[in-house]
Amino acid sequence: MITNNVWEEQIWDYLDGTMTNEETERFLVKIKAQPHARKLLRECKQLHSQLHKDKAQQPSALFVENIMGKISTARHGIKVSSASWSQAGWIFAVSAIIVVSIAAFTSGDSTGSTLDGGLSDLLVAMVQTSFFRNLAWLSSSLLLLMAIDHLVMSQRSNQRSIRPV
Amino acid sequence: MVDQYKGMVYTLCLRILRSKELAEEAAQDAFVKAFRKIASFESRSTFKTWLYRITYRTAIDYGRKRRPSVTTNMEAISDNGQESDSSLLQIQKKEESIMIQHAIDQLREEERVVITMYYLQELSIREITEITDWTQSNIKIKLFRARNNLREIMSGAHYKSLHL
Repeated sequence: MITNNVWEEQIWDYLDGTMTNEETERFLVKIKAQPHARKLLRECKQLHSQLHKDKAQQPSALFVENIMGKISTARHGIKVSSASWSQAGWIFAVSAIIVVSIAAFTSGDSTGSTLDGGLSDLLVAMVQTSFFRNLAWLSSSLLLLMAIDHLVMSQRSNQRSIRPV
Repeated sequence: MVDQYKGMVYTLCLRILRSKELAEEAAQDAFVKAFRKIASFESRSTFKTWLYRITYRTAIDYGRKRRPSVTTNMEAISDNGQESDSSLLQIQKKEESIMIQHAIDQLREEERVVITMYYLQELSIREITEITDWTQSNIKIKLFRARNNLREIMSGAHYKSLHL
């Protein structure tokens, strides 16, 4: 007596087309006399056909766009940092102006200034306060850090390479 | 490449992770990885097998790292229902598709993988071996069990109750 499992194995082999011609013939003869196995064959056939009809599901509409974004970020990951570097141009410019202004006011003779004497004295006095000194230090440090960051990022950018498809 | 394989890659991720959001993330990650590794692709296997191997590993990693709140494929299918043709045949086909998706969702992860690769992606047992590193006999056993379980689910009380 053939068990259910054995029938099922043979049925799947038959449906998968892995049986030889002789095996198929023998199988079909055998199954004719077995109503239970024939029912099993019908069920398996139905499932087999439904599984073959199964279709791939589609991701969201932004799927491809997101991948391209990720690839672009991966490829130009360092350049994104460079972009942030250029976006920080304002900080750079302001820092530079502060450093240069403070240097100009603190070095040189205030009398040589084209500004009105009272205003010039006031500015020199302001610049010489600890707040402006600290600001000068902070600006100089920021400039230095940005320069180092830019150098390091440029080097990493050269090392990394992502080949396109 | 993305346009050609996005459906298959996404569906494999969805079958493994059973979460739309996570599947989409994993599928995107798989494509980015493939893009990065494209130089290392050798013609020892087909491109499809190579891509599915990356996808399979990525999805399995995602599954290990993050246990998602399961939003079944059934939800994914109903969300994807964009057919404007509401003829009876279309509805019937869609229903059948939902039923089979739902049944697959109830299988174990390895069985879902085997069923998806064998039927949906039409990969041979040998190709599934290349992708998953499982032995051929192991895959045959998993496939047998998966189909057996699917048949039971489809003919069982649950399937009938869904039809009511």
